Amino acid sequence: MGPAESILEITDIIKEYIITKGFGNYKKQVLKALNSVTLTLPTKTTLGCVGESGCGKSTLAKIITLLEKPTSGTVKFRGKDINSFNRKEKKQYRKEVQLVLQDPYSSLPENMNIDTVLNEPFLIHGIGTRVTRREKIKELLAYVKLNENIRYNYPNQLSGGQRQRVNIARALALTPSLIVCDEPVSSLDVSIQNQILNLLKELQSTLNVNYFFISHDLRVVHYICERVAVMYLGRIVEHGSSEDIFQHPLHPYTQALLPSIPLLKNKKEHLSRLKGEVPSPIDTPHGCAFHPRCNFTKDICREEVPPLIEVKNSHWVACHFVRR
Amino acid sequence: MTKTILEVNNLSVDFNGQNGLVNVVKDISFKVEAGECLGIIGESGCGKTITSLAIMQLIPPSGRIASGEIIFEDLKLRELGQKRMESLRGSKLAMIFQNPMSSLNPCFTIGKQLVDVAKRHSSGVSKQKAHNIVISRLRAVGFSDPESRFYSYPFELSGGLCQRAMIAMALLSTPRLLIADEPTTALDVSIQAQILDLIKELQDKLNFSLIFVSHDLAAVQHMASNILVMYAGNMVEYASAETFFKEPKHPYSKGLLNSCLSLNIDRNKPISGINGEPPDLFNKPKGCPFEPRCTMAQALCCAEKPALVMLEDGRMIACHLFGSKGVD
Repeated sequence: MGPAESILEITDIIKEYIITKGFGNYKKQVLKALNSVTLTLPTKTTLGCVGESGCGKSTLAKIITLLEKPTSGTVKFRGKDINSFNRKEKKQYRKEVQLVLQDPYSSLPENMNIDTVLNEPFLIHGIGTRVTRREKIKELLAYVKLNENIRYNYPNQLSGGQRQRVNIARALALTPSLIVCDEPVSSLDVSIQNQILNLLKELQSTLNVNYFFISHDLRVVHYICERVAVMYLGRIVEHGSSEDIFQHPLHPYTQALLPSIPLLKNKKEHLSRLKGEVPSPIDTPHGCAFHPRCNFTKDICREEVPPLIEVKNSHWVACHFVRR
Repeated sequence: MTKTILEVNNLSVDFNGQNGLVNVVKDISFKVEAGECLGIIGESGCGKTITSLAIMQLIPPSGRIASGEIIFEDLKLRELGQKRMESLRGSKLAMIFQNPMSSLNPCFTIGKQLVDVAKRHSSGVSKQKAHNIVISRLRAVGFSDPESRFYSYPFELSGGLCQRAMIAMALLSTPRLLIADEPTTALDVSIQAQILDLIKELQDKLNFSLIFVSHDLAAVQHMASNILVMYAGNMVEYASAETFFKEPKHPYSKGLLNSCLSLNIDRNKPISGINGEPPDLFNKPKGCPFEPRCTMAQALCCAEKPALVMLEDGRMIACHLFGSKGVD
């Protein structure tokens, strides 16, 4: 996708979970969390991924960070499939790709103080001596603008915003090239959220790190991402630059999603609403997954899955009625 | 003149903490008129949920209402006995909570839970009649096939549908006041807009008063006619929604409005917001609670806590920058 250098190439990822239902005489059902997802992460950009809950955003993050194996498809990191890595390569890969999770309360171990938490990555990878590590931790805390005297505090002594800063510091410890942020600000208050967003942006320019930024909040994605992929029920329905997605959305789902963002307005008007709810990923609608909620549904939508086609220069849409 | 449904005067709530009593809500006073929607805004831990729980008389055992009075339709709620409060709760005073999944009982079907509530409100109602009431309410809140959903368990429904079921439960009897505590925070954007519209539509139809508690300013703007801003347990600003969003006066309100992201901000600039973090309630600043984060703080702010004063346009504000005429 484009000549620009890419850090991660995701091709045709399918992830299925087998779900069993009932006791004894149980039924097996297949939940397709990801359905032929193809995505490229160019270097020096932040790629955002938006969608409603259950659309597969977090599964994608898990696959990228090697926490889940895809049912089929490949994820190539610098030209090599990450699922064919041996132990040593995997360890190296995990050093390069780090994860920041949504809930700052459950993602830090309660029984370790901040110093121990930040020391761990270095110990695991056998980097530095005690003295250099101490310096390095000092530097990390400075990066995320935390006061050095919280160093021997335990997570329960910190506020949500401070914990999220520790999480970011931990992710930065091994100077990764990619940080997967899975809803890093959605459990924080607005004022704290903005501080964290500013911090992430600042770190990107100073440390030259890429983000894969997952969020359900389109306002946040609009602020922080250069490219955006919109997901619906395990598929990417639209993918393009932030301008394309927010100024000229082409897929009916994106078009309906944008006006439902709650924004401060000068006068009161009705929020436009998407009809209905997201169908269950266990039995997704036949054809285009969005057709039961779409205003433009025709017969073809009920029968055929629309392919993701490049409509304009690196603006990709999966809809039967969008033509080049 | 419209009738006042709820009047809260100088409400303070204390909690037992590890280091003694913590003052979680301090001297809150407001009124809610018939058919009005009051929006309460603030960050987590600012006391907005505790204020609404205090109105419902549902403060958890570790806390207590220290002082103040809550008058609901000429009834002093603090002086009512358990029994009378119970009969009021759910029938005239109703509440919707933040997390619809955990506020419904997972062991019973939606229908069973709603029928129980319906029976409780109108004693002697037959099973069949209660069933019919529930079905009609479920339809009113937007269930497409209430007959089959009646027999679903909460975990079989999506978050949006669970929240609709909660709203149906709150509206089984016709409440005079509905408290919605962050009703849309746990939901997706598309569903959020639907639920907000639904609450608004029902309010127009059933004409109840609404207290809408949220940290999402945009949602509050969509719903409320009056705004109450809380910070660290204190009331910092009270104004009509129109004047508030046009021109917030308190530095904290300004900061909150500025930190609201929009789709036409300059992505290359850092977003404005409020520096620092909300104060520790055990260890509140001596002066104005917002002083450590305030960009306009002066010497006076550090020394003395500002009183709530009334400005000409009827708005109330607790800030030394505006303090000259004190109200009682």
